[in-house]
Amino acid sequence: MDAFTDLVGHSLRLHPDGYRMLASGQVPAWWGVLIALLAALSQGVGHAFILFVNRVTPVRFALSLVVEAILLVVGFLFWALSTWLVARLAFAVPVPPAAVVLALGVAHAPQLLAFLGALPYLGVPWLTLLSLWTAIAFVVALVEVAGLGAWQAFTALLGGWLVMLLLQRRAGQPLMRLGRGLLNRTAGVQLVHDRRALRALLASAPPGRPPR
Amino acid sequence: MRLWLRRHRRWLLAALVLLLAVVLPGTGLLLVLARGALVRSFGLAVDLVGIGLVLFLLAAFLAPLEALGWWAGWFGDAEEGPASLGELAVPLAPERPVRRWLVYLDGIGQASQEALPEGEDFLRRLAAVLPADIAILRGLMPYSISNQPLTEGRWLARFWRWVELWRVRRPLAWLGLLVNLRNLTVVAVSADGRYGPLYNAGMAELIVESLLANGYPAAGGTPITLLGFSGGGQISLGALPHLRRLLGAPVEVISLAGVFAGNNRFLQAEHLFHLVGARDRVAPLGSILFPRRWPVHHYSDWNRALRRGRVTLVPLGPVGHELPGGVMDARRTLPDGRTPMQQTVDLVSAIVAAPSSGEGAPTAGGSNYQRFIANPWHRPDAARDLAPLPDRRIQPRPHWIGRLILPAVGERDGSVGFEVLQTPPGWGHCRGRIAALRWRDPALAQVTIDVHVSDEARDSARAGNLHPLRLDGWPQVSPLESLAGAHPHDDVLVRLDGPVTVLEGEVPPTETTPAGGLQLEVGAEPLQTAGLARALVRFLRPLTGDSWEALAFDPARGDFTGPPLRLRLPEPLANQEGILPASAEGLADGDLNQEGWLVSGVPDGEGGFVVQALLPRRLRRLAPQRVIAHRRAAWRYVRHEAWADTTPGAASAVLVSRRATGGEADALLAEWQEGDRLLVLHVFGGIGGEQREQALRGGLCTGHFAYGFGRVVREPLAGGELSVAVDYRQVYAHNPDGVVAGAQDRWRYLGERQWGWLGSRPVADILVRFPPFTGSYTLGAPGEERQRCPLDTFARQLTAMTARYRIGDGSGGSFVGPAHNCAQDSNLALFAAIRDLDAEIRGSAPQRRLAWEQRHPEQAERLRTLLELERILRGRLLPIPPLRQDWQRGSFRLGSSLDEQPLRDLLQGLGSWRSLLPRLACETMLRVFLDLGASALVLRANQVGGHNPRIAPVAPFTMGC
Repeated sequence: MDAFTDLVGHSLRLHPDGYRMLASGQVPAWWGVLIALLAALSQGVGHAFILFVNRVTPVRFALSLVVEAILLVVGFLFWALSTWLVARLAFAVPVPPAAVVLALGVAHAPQLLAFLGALPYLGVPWLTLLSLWTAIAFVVALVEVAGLGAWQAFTALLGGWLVMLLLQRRAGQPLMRLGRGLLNRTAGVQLVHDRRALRALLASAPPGRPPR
Repeated sequence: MRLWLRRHRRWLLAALVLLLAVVLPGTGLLLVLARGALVRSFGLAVDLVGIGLVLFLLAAFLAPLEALGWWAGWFGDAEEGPASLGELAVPLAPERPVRRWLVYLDGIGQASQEALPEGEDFLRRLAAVLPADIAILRGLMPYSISNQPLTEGRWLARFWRWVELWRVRRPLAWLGLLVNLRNLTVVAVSADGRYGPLYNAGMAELIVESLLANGYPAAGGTPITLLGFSGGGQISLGALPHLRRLLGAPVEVISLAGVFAGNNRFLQAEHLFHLVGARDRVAPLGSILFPRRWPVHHYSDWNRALRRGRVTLVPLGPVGHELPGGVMDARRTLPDGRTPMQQTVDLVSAIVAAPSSGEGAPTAGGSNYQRFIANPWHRPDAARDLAPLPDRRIQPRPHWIGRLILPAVGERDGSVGFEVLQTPPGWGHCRGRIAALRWRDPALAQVTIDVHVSDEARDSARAGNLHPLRLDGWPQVSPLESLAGAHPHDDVLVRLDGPVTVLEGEVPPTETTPAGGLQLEVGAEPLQTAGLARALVRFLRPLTGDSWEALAFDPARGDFTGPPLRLRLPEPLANQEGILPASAEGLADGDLNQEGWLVSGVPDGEGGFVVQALLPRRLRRLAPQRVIAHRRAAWRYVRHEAWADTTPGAASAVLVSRRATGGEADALLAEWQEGDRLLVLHVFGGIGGEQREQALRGGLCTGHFAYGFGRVVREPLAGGELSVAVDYRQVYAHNPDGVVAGAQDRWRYLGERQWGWLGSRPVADILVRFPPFTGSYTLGAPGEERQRCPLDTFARQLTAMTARYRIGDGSGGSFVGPAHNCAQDSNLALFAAIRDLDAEIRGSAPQRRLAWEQRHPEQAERLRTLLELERILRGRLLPIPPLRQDWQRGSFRLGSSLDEQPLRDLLQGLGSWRSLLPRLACETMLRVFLDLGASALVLRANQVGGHNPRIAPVAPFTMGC
């Protein structure tokens, strides 16, 4: 347990020791995915107001948080793999994909605090800060694990993200639809995410609610 | 900005120290050491503070749950309803209808429906002084959408009761802070962009239910005042848009030392009064903690409301926030002898009891128009204007000229009143009668629109701009009605243009029916004008008072001769900035006077003649001082030299062409023949000098652009010399000067000594002669031929555009921005005209077009040039087509200012960037015409008509085109 908190602590402080722990093999492989999962759950709590606005019932609310977190982790895995691919092709780095997945998973540590994004008024700037924090953690992680320079790491991450975006828009469409369908099914409603639609939903009177 | 910095300097310093602590390396270690030292010295206390902070964060974390759960329906039907509703502070008198409802929302110290003791005391005192027709609603717990007090029905109710007990015993005890902290989290919920809409909707529903339960009419409509103390200010403003939507009533907000965010919908309030004391340390936190209240957020709702005059900041003097010394302190005494409580009660009761701002129509108080109409010599007055002219050398203008009269709303029949002040020869018997004027043009139906004056236009009117408030609520307002109703008074003087059909009824005019069946019908837009009679004169010397001695031009002798005329030039009134629109100082000096002045005016009723408008003959006659028929020199003159000389009182006329004419100036001038039609490009600059106008404070003089139409005519007053007659089509946003968008002649727009620009601004009129665009085409099959001129198509587009501008597409307001302004929308009209022409020409069958070209080879040649012009103009006007979808589709909407969507507006403006700046637009267009072989007469004048040393002309800004 101490090793786990050490790992998270190092990662939060953007300390390279955390990633060196990974490289030394002290860390079980699934810890990275666990951190990413917990971070995804925390993010879900931070953004839970979307589920409330969509009028999701309490049980489905909890289930939706879990399903959303799992989907986020799946997305993360794709992104980590595409980053690995870009690093491999563009910079010819001989790093195993599992190491990249683990390193980037651990780099999600700042997002463990994303649940504080639910704080009124302070939440939004907090989430912005966390995003920045996490982005730096990604770069540090890739630098340590793959031995890339900071700009190379940044390029690989960006390239990986673009590749994933391209896949999502093209070959990944059925998978994306499946994910969305799963989430909607769990929530029991057609979830509305984008800002304009949310605003329209807020402007409407809650249906089915008896007048007080 | 400077004031804001000074006011918040302590906070800024603290933020800077904090930032340095975070950024500087090593300070983190220092902080850790400092914390270690603190823990060692005050171990338990530091830990307790840490625990307190965590608890506060936990409370804040859970604070949105009430609103979220309510919205999502988590609490079930049984708990949907509020625990209780608000109640009246004083029962209503059954016989007296309530004129306004005041809803009180207490500060963050409130733990139950009862406000704090001082709050309840305040309400009692307020109820005692307010009139009986104002109802006060109290008993609302603004920090719970179910109106659930902290002390009842909650998990922690017992705890809060205990806190409340302590607080009542010892008001200053720190335990009372807990209530404040808890409620503060709810204020944060209301201000949050995500939770706020939910919480505020819930609070608005609670307020509405409480109002209805206490006798508020179910149909809504009765004005409401939300009075929020401290955090109640945010809750009031949050609920505001929802209340407006639910009740359709005007809502006014009073923030009593309120703390509120800058993203509230302030513009939906009738008005916001923000009462703050100089010793208040809490209310100013709102302007620090909420970034959208910072001045740097120029387009935030808060800053827009401030700019539009929707917020009144009321200083309370040496008063703090809460007790002691706060706004509700009934013990301390202020310098004027009142207690802060009494002062607050006085101020709030005065605001609430005042008549609703919506009851009286906004006035154009403070506008230049309001000042200028005080000058009797420059507005129509039939009693004076119908008097005989004092001298036969002052000739009546041979047109139908009269004052437009807007019909009453119940008497609309498509016509407007027209008080006939001048007529063509043979119709003199109609002078003084009020005719029914109709403007028949099938195209007008497209710009006949319902008018509902928007809040923004009302604010603009309150700020002094002239909006058509008389037309508010009118369905299907025609362009003629919008012209007649453009001013608050029926004082728009127009000249009827084109053929006028006169229908005289059998009924003789009487006092009750002054029209006596006289009806006038026109097919073209009436031109706004000035003066009923005119003369060509040279001023000799000033006489006593405002009189001048002048010689009239004798066409027979070709010189200024004969017995002197006595003309009056009353000094015009200065505008709000103290700038005189015109002056008569030194009028007899200089070469312009030697050439002569065309004057237009009215008899003064005492044997004299009042000059209302004057124009130098140099700007009227077709006698250029220079002719430049050289490619480079012509463009150099247009681009650089024309605006380089800004000597006050100077005027010039230069004919230019980039076409090779063998350098023969006379040949170029000879092309300009009587009857030729011309396109006019007009630009004006700014007023600088000692009395530099406010508009130039930003440092950049943008100026103004307009198109117009001209014709080469013979001037009878000057013995038939070739002259140019110019009329403008002003696409002019609503303004404080009383300039009405539409057709205006030079007398009104330039020469008018009170209302025009010639005496105070540098101006340029560039008259373009380009037969492919200004000439006529014979269209149609043989035997069914009709004449078509591209200028007419353009004129129709401009007529539609100016009609839309007059009523802001039904919103009552047209505002200037990068996407919509004089230059952009004038050129949009040109673009639309080109589109129409293109469709008409290319739409015809190729064989028929070929036959037509064979029949009219000269016209076919011109048409080819016209198509080339169309292609080039399309590219010049719309260099980035995707940004101006509105131009391409012909769909856009006026009536909102730059504030609404600043970024979109800017992007759209950049899509047609050559039309962004007036002078640039003018030069761009002129360049295209000159390159294709046009010739242009460039008429320039700098503040002519009299010497005014306190102002100086400023050329409008331009850049490479």
